[in-house]
Amino acid sequence: MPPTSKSVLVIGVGGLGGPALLTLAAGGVGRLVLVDCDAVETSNLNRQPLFTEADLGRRKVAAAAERLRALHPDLELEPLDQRFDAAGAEALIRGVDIVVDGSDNFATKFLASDAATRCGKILVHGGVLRSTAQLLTVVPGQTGCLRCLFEGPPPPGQVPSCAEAGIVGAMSGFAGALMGAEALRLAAGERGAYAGRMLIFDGRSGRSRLVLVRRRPGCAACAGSLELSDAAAPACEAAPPAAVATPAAGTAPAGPAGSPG
Amino acid sequence: MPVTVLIPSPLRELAGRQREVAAQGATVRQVLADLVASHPGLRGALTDDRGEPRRHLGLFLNDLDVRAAGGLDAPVADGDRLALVPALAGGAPRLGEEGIARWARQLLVPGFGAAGQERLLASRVRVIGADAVAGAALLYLAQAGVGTLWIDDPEAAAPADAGGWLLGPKAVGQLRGEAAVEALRPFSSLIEISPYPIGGVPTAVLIVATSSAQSLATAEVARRTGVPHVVVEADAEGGLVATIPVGAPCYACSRGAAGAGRPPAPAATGLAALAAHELLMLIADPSLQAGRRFELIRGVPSMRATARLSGCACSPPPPASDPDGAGAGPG
Amino acid sequence: MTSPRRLDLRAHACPMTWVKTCIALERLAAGEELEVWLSAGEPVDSVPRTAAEEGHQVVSLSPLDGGAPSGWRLVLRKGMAEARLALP
Repeated sequence: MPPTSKSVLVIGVGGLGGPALLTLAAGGVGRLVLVDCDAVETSNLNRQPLFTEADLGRRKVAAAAERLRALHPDLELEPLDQRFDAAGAEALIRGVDIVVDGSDNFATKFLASDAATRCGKILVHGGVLRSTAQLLTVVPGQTGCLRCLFEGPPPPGQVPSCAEAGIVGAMSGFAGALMGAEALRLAAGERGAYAGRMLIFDGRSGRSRLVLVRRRPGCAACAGSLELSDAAAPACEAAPPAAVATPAAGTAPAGPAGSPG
Repeated sequence: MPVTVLIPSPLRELAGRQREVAAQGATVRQVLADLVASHPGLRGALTDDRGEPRRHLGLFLNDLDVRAAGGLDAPVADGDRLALVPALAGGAPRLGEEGIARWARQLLVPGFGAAGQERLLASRVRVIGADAVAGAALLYLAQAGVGTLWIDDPEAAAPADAGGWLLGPKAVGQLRGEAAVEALRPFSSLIEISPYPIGGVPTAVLIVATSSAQSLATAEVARRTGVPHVVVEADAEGGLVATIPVGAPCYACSRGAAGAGRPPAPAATGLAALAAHELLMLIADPSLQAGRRFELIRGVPSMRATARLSGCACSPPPPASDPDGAGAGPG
Repeated sequence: MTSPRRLDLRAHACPMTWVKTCIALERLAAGEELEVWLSAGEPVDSVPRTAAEEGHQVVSLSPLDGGAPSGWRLVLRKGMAEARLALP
């Protein structure tokens, strides 16, 4: 059933957001809102399927919108060349039905989850690290949110290891396409495949795990009492590595399967 | 304990169909000489008319390029693994500054690295099928730096083939393979992208055929010619990805009861990305040689190792050097 | 083709500093040393730590002539080949 009446916000148009957008566009979604504040860099071209070599140096959102329109001339697109931040998050989210978080840093991921929860909108979360992908759908009021599982992003000042920047395009492509497909399911009124359970997929071993994400009693984000913040969010010029968070002790089992932890 | 020499698939027929051969020697040069002495069929492939190892033969000792470790006179130790990597005409491509900048992020992934990237650059991948599902796989193979990408699809593009990841409405009516080549080239000028040349010998194959019959037939050809391959069959629920390294259970054994035969769901492009990842790992990382299959059902991938169905023609014959027939084949 | 034993990476930012260090280490044999010059800030904060996490030894880290602002000299010793992630 084509979800042509629904609108989806996609945060980030790169390694995760790109394949998510391509999947959503092909699936006939009604309206797509794209938000990203970076320019296309050389090292993006190993894994971001919306950008050709001719797009180097261009604003990502402009290049992404142009590419999507060339493939789908009738697509309704709202490209926003701006940062997804605490000040504007809620307004953006209230204007759509579903949020897909293709961002590549912890701060934005938690902001997206907090803001979607406050607005009562479904969020599809995804992250990739080397050969591991994780996917979770947050249904406010029903399932746990990102903070029910992880409590919060790593403290500011803890610089991620450079080696964590490693990523093979096809793995982020797989994750992003699954995120897009999940959003299409949700737009069609179905229950999400990752609603309340996080899929952790290790591309080397090929193993999948599903981790239940229940509402954590006392979660401030779910209670709506958490202030949205941009703490530790990177500046738009930098290109931080894609982010995969590690569960807080006492909640889910630590670390994705097969990774060195 | 001698040195283990890893024989690349195009040369296995000349080495008694073996994937690994034991050889003796104190240096790389001596090991190669011993290898050729015990498998004379390899002489022409490995040595020139003066008996010297061919200049463009890639050699990796424990995954380190021999050229960086002292060349042919580098010492070897018992238990070392020497991998042979046949080069294209003109020599194996080296990873230059432009490539490092382009592929920086994947160079950091365990199993890839500069050695893995050079294997990708040296590979020739034939992709059978260029429909909307294949488009996603083609994009990721091109962006990852597969050195030669041959696209094999003589069908005409229909409206259903447009609106995927690669072909827009303007491609309708063109030949799918040619349209895909044209659409893909802007993504990477660092590799060669062309229609599949008749008689071209690939080093790996990706099959995104539009029918089970075509998948089975083309997979069988790949198997018989000793080429590792990955097969994608997408359907309305998700679909199947089967990874078949050389010597692993064949596609017919791997697929089980797959495919409802209905048109692919939007999740099918995810399947194509997974297939591309499997193929890239197969090429970049020689340690991954087990056959396996994935099913993607409602967004959740489930993997299991493949196993030969008894009596299937894909069982390898006993090695020529093992007259009792009790030698174990791979897989 | 000989592999470089000293790299001046002061013109690069993360993660390219690590990428180049990683590639140079890859082309060495276990036990061999690599000298890398890094600029202050994120590169010198993260590259030694990453190298240690990846199984290599930090032999020394000292300011270049001219003091810390002109950069740092990091000497690494390549560790033994990393164990492959186990395939079950």
